[in-house]
Amino acid sequence: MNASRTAPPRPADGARRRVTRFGGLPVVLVALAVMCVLSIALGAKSISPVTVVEAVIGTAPPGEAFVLWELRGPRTLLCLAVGAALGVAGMLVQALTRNPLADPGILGVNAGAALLVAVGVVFLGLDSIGEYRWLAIAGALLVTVLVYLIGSAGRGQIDPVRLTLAGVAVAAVLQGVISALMLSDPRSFDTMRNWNAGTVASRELDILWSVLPLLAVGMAVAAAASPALNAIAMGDDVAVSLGVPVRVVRIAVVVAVTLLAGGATAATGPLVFIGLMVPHIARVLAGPDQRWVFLYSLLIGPILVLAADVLGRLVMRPGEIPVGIVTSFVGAPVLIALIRRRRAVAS
Amino acid sequence: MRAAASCPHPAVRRTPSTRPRRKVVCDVANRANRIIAAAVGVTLLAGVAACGGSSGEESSGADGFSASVDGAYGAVEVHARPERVVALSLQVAEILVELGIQPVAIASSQDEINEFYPWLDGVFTGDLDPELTPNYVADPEAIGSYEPDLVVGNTWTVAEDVYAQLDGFVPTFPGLAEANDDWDAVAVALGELTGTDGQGLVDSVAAECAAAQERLPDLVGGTYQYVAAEEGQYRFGNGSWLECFGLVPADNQDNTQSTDAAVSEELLDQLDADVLAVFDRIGARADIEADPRFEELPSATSGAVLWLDAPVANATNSPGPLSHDYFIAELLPELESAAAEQG
Repeated sequence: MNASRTAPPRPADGARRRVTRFGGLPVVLVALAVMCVLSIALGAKSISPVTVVEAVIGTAPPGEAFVLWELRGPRTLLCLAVGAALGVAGMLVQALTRNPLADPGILGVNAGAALLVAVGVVFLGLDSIGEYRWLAIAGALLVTVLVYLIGSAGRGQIDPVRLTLAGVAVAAVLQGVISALMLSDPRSFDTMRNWNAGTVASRELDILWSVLPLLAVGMAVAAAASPALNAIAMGDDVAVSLGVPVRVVRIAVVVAVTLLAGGATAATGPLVFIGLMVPHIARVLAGPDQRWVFLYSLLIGPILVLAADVLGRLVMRPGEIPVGIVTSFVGAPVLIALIRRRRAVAS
Repeated sequence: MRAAASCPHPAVRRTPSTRPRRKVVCDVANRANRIIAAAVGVTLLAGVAACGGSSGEESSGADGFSASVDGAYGAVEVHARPERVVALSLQVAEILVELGIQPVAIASSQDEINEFYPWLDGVFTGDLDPELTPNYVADPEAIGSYEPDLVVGNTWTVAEDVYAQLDGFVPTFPGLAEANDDWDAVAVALGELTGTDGQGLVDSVAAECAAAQERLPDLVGGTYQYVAAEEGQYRFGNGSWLECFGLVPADNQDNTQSTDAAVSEELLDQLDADVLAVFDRIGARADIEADPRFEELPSATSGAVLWLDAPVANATNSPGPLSHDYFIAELLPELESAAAEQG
């Protein structure tokens, strides 16, 4: 990100970058595996490692097996999918807008999802994620398209600044509408309060299956678009001179962000800071090459979401804290620490 | 019997009912509108006071009635027997009706009663006027239009600033405390303010509970838990209403409605009281019952799991005498079956 604005790397920097880039990969993979294991093994209910092993081989007591496979299993898979989606969506939107403070919400994804969820809750009497997930997806898609149309109106191409401003403006307007809907009656307020917290708890696998196709298509588009983002980072003129179809790439990125962030938000509610934070960590390890930033974002996103979820299960025992709240109060200090490291920002 | 009345703040009161969420809404209500409405209302109320003040004093002299109780914000005094009472919550409204006083206006609507308070359908002869508490905050202008001689509410509809505006012109009872009021304490206080038999009303409800307990000989003395199903956890609500059936709180039952009083869904086996009441607003019943640990719970084995819908949850959350009638009628048959099972 912003590679064109940094000083040319010295040869020694390049060597160190390669070491970090390749050496970081196994570390991140191991961290991801460890977090998956911890997500299965740790929770409000203490289950011994022996019982966890017994659950794997099918000899654990039914109660413990239920907790491990029916409660922790689905939420672990959901953390993996949502973390990867939000991490990559964040990386894409920061590259698209050339703004290190951008996150997927800047395109109106969260506001769009919340708007239609609020409409469903208030006017259709919906109460649970299983009922309003499709509205969340539709809202994310529709509002992102609206932001895109406003951001590109009359120009024939996407202007990152206009797109950002359009996203912020539309989100602000929608937030007012959402607040009005929330305040229309107590039940709506309570349901939207739960939605806004963002959680992976009590999510059955059908929630994941319903958004997985969106995430898969979004991820494929993102993977295809990432190499071209390197050229766009150097400026539109340079990218065009290198033969990159800038407009097509930007549309592809908007589509990918919408599918990834919209699908993730529909499944869990808004998880703030993940999309903002993950690309910064990824760039520390990967450097400015967007192909590597994509890969690292794909892996680091789930690590952060899993860590936040496990933390949320443990700190308020016997109760739990929704993962969206944990990402907020842990994410902000971590982000501050990151941006104080020049290396994280400069790259 | 110390069933709690409606709560002033979500931080204090996290309850399974839909009712306390009104307070959350109160907190974010548009203050500017309140101030404007209050200014107009104070003017109107001043007119009411100017017109009715002398006659009020005369009637005070005439019937010799005078009463004072300690309200949440200070002493509430009346110097004539109240005849035009405005009720700012359904709970106080039903207490007033059972004390023999029909409020001239009640802050509610027929739709709200139909959906959440069906036992109150047809109980009131006064106006049902939701504009008395727009955004769940008392509106002095709307209240003044009824020319009341007593306003009865609670601290989450009558915040202290609104109370200060109202009380200068019309006696205003804002509840007994800024935390949860016990309905029976409110009934006694309202009895004093209106010259009616509040304690007698409380005793009559206690007698109904005693009658219910007589039909549950094997359950009396058993433990209870009351939770609201949320995503990923069960949050404790104030279950003191279950004491009407002779039950006692389980060791981990938290009636304080603290925001962190909850049990993770992973710890379902900790909901092991003899009677388990669940307010299932999010439709989690099927998932809960699918947990193999559920059928091992003592309450599940004896059939003493009470699944509360919104009306029953409201009846237990903001109880009054008629609410007691309702939830006793709704839940006693299930409890009798459970008691027979345990016996």
